[in-house]
Amino acid sequence: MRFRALTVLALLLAFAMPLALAQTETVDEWMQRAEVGPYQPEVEDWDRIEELAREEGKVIVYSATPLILDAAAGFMERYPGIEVEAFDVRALDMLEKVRREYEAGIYNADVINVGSPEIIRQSLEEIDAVVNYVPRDMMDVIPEQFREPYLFQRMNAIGWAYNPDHHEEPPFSNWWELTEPEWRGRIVHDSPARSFSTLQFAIAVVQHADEFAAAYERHFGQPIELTTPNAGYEYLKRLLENSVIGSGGSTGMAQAVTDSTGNFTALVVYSLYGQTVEGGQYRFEYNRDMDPAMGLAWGENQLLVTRSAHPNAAKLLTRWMLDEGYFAHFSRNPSPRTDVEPVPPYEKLGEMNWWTVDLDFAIDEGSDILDFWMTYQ
Amino acid sequence: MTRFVNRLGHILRTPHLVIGVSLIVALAYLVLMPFWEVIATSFTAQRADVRRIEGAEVGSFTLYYWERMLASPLTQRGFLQPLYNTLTISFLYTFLAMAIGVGLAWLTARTDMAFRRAIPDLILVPYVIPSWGIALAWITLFRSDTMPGHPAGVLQAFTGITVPTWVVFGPFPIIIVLAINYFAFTYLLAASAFASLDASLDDAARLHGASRWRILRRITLPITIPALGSAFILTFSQGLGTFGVPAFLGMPDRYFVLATSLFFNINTGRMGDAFVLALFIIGLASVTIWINTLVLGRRRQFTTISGKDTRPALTPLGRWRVPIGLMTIGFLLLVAVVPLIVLVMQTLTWRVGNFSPEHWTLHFWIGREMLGAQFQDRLSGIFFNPEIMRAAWNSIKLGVIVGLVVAFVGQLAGYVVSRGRGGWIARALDQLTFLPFVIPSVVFGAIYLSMFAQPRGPIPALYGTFALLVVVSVVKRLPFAARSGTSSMMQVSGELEEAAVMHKAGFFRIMRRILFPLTRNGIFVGFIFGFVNTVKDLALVILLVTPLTNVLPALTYSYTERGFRQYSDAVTVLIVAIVLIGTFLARRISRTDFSRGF
Repeated sequence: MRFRALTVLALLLAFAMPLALAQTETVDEWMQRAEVGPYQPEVEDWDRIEELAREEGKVIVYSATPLILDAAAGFMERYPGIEVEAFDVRALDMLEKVRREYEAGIYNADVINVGSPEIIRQSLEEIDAVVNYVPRDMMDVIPEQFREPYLFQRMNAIGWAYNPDHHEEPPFSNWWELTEPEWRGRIVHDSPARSFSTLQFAIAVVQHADEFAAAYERHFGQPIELTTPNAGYEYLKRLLENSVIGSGGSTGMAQAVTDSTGNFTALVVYSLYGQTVEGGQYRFEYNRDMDPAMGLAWGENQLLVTRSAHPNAAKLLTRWMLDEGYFAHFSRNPSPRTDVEPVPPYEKLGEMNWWTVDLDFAIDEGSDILDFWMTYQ
Repeated sequence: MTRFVNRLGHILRTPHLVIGVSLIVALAYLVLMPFWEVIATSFTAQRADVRRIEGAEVGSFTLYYWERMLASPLTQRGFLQPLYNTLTISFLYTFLAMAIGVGLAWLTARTDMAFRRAIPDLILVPYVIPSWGIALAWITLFRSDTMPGHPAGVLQAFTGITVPTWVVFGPFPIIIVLAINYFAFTYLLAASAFASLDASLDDAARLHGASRWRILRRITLPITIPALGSAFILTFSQGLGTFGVPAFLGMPDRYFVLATSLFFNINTGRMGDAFVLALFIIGLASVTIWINTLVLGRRRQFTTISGKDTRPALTPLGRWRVPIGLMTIGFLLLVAVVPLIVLVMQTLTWRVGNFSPEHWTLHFWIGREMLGAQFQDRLSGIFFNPEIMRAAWNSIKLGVIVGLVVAFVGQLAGYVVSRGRGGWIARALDQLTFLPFVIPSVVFGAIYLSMFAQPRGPIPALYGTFALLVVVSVVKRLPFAARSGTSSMMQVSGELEEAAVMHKAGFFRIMRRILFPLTRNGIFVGFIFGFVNTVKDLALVILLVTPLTNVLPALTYSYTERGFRQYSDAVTVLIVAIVLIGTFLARRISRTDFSRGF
């Protein structure tokens, strides 16, 4: 008798499981309810969104910058009653974990704030885990390239930096100089296996292989002889013979140049440049006339996670992070908005010579470039 | 058919068989299934790679990953080099740990060294510091600003002495730090070997005029060598999958071992490559354990030589008695206290590398202000940082739950193994509970990542839940707990149970009123070990935590990676504090003699 009851219970459980799963909302139904994607209204009623956000009472954001912790506090002050749970997670970790959470049916994060569009495309968008959300009233002030396919919440860049205390003139003007023997052991960068910006850097180098071939000739006075598929790969290979893998992520690189006493360079992100002003934490400078380019610029994307529990609070947070929140907490990075002037010492990215990475190229070649790096590092 | 039904009825009426079968079923799912999962994944086209594999769809069979790892331009750097590094490090650190551990064991068990009674307690002190914590301290102590990309360390700041880079990063420090972490392990194994040595053999030899050297060479060593060999192999096997230390000390030198390669493969979405490496690590570990059973098999012949136990005559150290004692104590304090001091010092510096007292600050401990807008790496102090406090709470919760579960499951497994001695259920359970010992932590994490990523039949996806951390930690800690459970259950005679059964006591009543009270010491030792190892374990959970279920060791790792060194060090010190307080409380509550649990 008892045995039969147990069997019935077990059978019930076994059948109830798939049923319970089937009952969860589809992505489309969620988008409809959240009024995003194809269901985003032409005019958004922000009072209503705020009201709904208050009902939700909470928003969970994963971001690749510790600035998010400050920003979360700022948002809670501005919108009391809406709690922000902010997590500062490294980019590669975050994308991996969001995808796994999503596949496990756990929809923790409402918003993600991270670079790496090619990984977003391949691992998140492919399973409909994210949706691009641009507040309607921001459409006019953010150029299309900065809001499609994914919204840029802020911009960033990375390039070779030197310590101006020890060099009146930049100690290098052509990227190929860094492959010469005198720079051996004096170059620091991170590994693309753990740093998103370094991976983007490597992709940018390969994408601009032709420019590297031309720059080679300008520097050495003769055409490059290749031992690898193109001049971009050739550059990476020779760079890796000279360089050291640094530790401590982007602040570690900036600190390295700041503390250096000699002829020394590192790949440093532009978002720390604001700290080079009087009394700031770092001392570094870029060569604006670097041949063939200063480095690479990219955007930090902000996207909503589908099926998440707090879509309205997520919308409110996104809009705030492009506006008031940006000014209060992120103004160290250039804004994608045309109506926002950079705060000195920052300059408009568009007026400097930065490369950008082509999303399709990154998707096609990223994996091979990472393999290449791993083979030579 | 009737025979089968009868047997089934017999099993159902015998508590230890019911428990045994349930444990076997559960462990088969939690240990054997994952193993199959790794093999299958390494032959299956993953979503991220489909575009690169000709004619493949997601989930189709492929040799792509095996080919990449074993026969492609990537093989040298992606597989062979890490394999070579793993073996080199494991051999060398094991030699060093054995030298220290066996030396200490001999000094405490067989000589009249001063203070030797304090050693068994003291030796456990370095053990509470996680191995990667010692690695962080090592970096902070020895780095210097002559190394590109690094600020001054403690040594340079106070003495001006700088050491070459190979002292700070690469194989050398990895070997030293692992040896520091594992010599307590080799000590415990060696000490039991020396303790079991029958002193009457010594006496007999001495009576026949054998010299001390001759006794050592002809009696002590031959008898203890199988046990020492076994200690060597067990220590060696633990090095094969070690992750934290080579991650912190190897990466900056581009020095990879199999475990760190595996981790970075998973981090960059290369599950296929990662699982090929995982299989190699498991394979290597299995071979070493197999060799171990061969060695131990030989030992049995020796242990049959036995006689009346007498107190062994201790080797007199003469006038070196006190100096050697002091040096030993000094060494143990050095490896336990210096790392902590170095870590604490760094948490007090406002700027990494600047140790002058006028720049000292308590900001990283109790600062309420978040200075992120000015300085990216100045969050609020760890006690006011919600992310860190959440992780601290998670760590404590995880440690306590895992400690309790593993202690009781360990006792239950021990009960089955001791009562069912000789039966297939006992043997199978014994083997299954030992299996997680062979699978290195980081591999275990990787396996569970894939195993519980999606719902499977009635078992829901556990990824992203706290339960997953509990399950993986319990299974990983089971080998020790089950052995401890078996040895304590063996000591309780079956007659007590029989007497209780006569008085019509039910099974649960017997457990509650007789077995658990009598094996209390074993339970608490199981708890403490489960707790300590869970709280400080990085490799097992690093792949499984999510922002909401984060624990302290994983947080340290991410702070270190980002250069927030004061935070990573403060969190490490916090972990040590939690371990010490937890151990202290558990001992207070149970009045357990920690060192006697082995």
